Amino acid sequence: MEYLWIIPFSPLVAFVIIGLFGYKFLREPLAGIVAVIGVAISAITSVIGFMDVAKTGNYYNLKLFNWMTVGDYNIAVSILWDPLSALMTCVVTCVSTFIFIFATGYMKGDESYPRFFAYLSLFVFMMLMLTLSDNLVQLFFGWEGVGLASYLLIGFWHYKKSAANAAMEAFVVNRVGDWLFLLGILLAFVTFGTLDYLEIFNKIPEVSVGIITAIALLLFGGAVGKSAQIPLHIWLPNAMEGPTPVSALIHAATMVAAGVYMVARVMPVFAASEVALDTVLFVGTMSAFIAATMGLVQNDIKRIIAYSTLSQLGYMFAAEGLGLFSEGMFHLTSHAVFKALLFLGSGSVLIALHHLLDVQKMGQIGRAMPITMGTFLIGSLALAGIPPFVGFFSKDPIIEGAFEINTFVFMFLWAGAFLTAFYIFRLFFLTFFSTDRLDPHIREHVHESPPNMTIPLIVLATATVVLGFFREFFINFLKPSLDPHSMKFLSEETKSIVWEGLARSHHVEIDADAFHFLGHSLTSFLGIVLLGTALAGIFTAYVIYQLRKVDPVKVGEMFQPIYKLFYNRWYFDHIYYAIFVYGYYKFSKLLWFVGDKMIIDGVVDGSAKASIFSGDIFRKTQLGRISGYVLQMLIGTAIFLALFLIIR
Amino acid sequence: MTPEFVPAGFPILSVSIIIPVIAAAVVFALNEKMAKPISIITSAIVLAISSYLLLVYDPSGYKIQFYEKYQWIPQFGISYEVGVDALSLTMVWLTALAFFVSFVWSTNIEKRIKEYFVSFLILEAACIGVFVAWDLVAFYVFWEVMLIPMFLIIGIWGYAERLYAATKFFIYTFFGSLFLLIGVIGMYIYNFYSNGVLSTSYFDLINVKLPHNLELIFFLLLALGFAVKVPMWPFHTWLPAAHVQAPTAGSVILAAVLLKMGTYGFVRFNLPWFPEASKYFMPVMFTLGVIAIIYTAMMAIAQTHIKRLIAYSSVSHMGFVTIGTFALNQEGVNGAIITMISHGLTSGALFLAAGFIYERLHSYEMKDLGGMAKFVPVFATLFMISAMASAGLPGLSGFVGEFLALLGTFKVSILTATLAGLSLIVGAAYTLWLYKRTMFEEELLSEEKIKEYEHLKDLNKAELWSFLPLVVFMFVIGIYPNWWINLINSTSQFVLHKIVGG
Repeated sequence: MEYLWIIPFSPLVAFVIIGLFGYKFLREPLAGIVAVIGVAISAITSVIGFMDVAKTGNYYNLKLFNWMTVGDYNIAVSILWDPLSALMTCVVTCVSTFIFIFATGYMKGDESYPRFFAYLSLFVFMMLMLTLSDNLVQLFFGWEGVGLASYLLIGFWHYKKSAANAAMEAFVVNRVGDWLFLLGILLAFVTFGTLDYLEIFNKIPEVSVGIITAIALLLFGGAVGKSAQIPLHIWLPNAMEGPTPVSALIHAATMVAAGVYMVARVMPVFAASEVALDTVLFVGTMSAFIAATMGLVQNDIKRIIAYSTLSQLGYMFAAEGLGLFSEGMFHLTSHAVFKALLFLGSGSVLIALHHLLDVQKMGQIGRAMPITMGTFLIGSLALAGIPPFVGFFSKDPIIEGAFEINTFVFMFLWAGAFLTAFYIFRLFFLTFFSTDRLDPHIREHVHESPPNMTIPLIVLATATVVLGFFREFFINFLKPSLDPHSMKFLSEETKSIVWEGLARSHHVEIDADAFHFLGHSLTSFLGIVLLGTALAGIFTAYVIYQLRKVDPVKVGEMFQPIYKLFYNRWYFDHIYYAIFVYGYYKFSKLLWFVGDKMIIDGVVDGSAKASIFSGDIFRKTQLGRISGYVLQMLIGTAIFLALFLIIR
Repeated sequence: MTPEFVPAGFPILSVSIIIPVIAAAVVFALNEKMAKPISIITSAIVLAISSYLLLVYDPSGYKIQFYEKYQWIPQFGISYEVGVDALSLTMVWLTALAFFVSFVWSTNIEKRIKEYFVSFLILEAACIGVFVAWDLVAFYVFWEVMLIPMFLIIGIWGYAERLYAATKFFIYTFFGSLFLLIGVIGMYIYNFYSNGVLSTSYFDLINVKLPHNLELIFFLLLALGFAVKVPMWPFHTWLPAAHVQAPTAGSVILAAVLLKMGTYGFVRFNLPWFPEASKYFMPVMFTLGVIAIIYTAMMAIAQTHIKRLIAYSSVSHMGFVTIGTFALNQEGVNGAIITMISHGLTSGALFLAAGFIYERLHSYEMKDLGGMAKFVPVFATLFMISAMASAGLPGLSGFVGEFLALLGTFKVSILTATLAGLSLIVGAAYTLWLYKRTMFEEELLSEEKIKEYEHLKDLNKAELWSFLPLVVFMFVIGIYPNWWINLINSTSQFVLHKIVGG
């Protein structure tokens, strides 16, 4: 398995090549091609590695390079290749490959074309360092690295003030999470004396639950930032300032899912603490519901999908909090595919409409771009949870699990499912059908996108249709990483702790086999209710936005306070801005005037004046006679000697 | 634990102090055109020497290497004694690098060119002297000599309010060093009083056994002297004033080298000489360190003058050195030393960036800046890397030191580490704010400005060659910190040997 090192370093090489020679020699389209080759190599390699693990169920731990020694512990650049990291790595590299290809079309003609692909390659390298790590520090390296890449890419069109602001916001808000995450790492190191996952897992039985809980919660703080969960979610919708392939890759499919991945990666730590699992469950559920309500009333096509991402990430965290880690990871995989599809679809729309973002000003473009429309529909159905698309096989099990485990959580996730189906079809109808509200000048130029953009759409759409039927394969595949009894690297003691920790989900039986699951859903009461909910959501959107039987404006007026709450995104942005941006800045200014200028400098400059005054007095001690100075020196020495005698 | 001494076959350290002095004399004698090339060659030689020493230094066990000792005034126990351990050596290397960079950068000096380079060369000799001297009289002489050229650099080649700033700098640091002097004299006299020996050698004074209260007093005297230099809150206000007025090369030296002397002093003197007092004052130093980190980060974001912003960010980073040092454990001291090196690189690079921006746009005020990134891509890239290193991105130098310092602190005080860790957030905020307001937001520019910008020149050769070494070493330390940790390990063990034993 030595060849695995190719996976992260192939995009790094592409990054260095494009970074150094991008503008002078490669330019367009060579820079893009180099990037695609770089990521394709690592995609192929990771699929080969994936096959190996799927066959054997083994895990491999390679130490590549000793980065830093702290005491007795070596922090190494390393690769832990087990089903979990293999799955995540495959998702990252494969989705990236198609998004890179799409981007060669999307970024056509941009003056900073090489820079874009350099950043994208850097991102993939960092993301792979994150997924492949076998210890928390390398994970943190990747974690911060993808934060940097995200910053650079959100601010890619940095001539725009809004993009520069969004980039900075994303980085700083992420840093809030990273602060907690770093403290978690420090606490883990002080507690366990090591930061390698496998060693940490086997030391869990020696450590009190209180400390485990603290570590888990601190690490989860990082996940909340990176995966944009409430209350650190505000950066993600603004991150849509970046080019659409970036939104698809970083802010939907891969980077934002890093938090979900991290929680699954250190699953035994979370499982060992009930409080930690409950927190994950609560934050996930709330995010799933609240973000869906925010998505209902937005008009920016990319922001609607961004809120949907927040909401779906909430479902994944909820699954983990319920103890259904495999379901969470399966939903991550499925979401990566269909959400990348939706974002790329919207990117295709944006190209056709010259970067018009407001869905209220679109309409009836479906006929002009059938491939985009068709694939977008598949993505929307998957998101809404309609069989046989992959979203159905990954999202419904989570809601059904919630029904068995926690009614409160179930209610929110169920309501969220209705909202999800509604908002995505509101978007779908307003964009592709409904009335023609498009500016005639733009309408003239509406066209289907070129093949290097539509082919990725078709591939992803195919995956959306097919992937769901591999449900059983994925669930079984993940067992050696997430099912305590099959995890080879755990000691017996840890196994029993983890098993007890996941007790909440023991009574839940969800069919792994896709056909059984489908059959069960269509016959059981709960399954029919859930399916009916999704269809009701779609139907409501159809009635309001396609048939126009109900005027949405009037509905908005009827529920004025709620509409306002949703439209203003529950006022999170306003409150944060007031306290942490405006408040912090003004307070700093005030502190500068009062603290540094008035008080400290007042004392300093004041004492300078005082010394001029006192200098006049002390001048009289300068007699100008040697004997005088000798006397003073003796007095000084005597003072010291006296001091020594007094203080003994 | 008594250190071993490895005498130098060839007085290489004295030579590296003397070379700049000789060069200064030569520059003074020759005409103006020769000043810059001679200075660059001189600093390159010193850099080569110190790099060579860095490579041949033997990090196994604590040894004072390249050691020289000559009697000076034996009647009073004063000698000339130089040598290096890893702490000294890394600081000497950093000094040599910073001066090389500054000389290469200094192209646009208009007045008194000879005097400018002479001041810098004398300053370089004094700075190296401070770091290699083991005799307290020699140390103190170098320490004070250094003030004069720096005073001149700010006072003559600075900007509008240079005299105020230069005077403030001089009086403030002189005020601090008086306490240092009193402390050192006290130690000297006490050593005589208790052992009957007159000696100003570091290795004699380290063995003085002080009564508890006296130890506390001497600790405070030395600490006051060093705290002004670091500078620690609330003695920091001279620094922004000095930086704002100093010419670019002066700022680089001030940030990269002069600030290190304060923290060097803490690690070199306070910890080994006053182990009990160090433990006793740990909470005080932690508090001051945390205030420095958070308070000055807030100061930084309140600024509109980019050099003042960077100056405040320096104070904030030095807070990490303070808490790392006074964590009084191996990780903490290692972290403090690596942060010192890293801060030398990043703050130096950031001041170069500020200088670059000023040379192009003739302003340091944010309201006149912005939108440059597209027109100067190479500079924008190097500036971004420096900013990220300063913000502590893993893989670059800043993270290594801060991680170790935080780890060391975390072991002692979770609260301190938690608060200090906030710099992850506030530090990112002011750094990115600085970058955004200088490099991004082109759309806010007026038409004329954009036309003006189209003639902007990216880094010229001199600028590139002064920027590059700093950036390269940010990567070197960030990617392969083990080499540096291995280098300084035995030194930090020695520094702590009275505190943790061994």
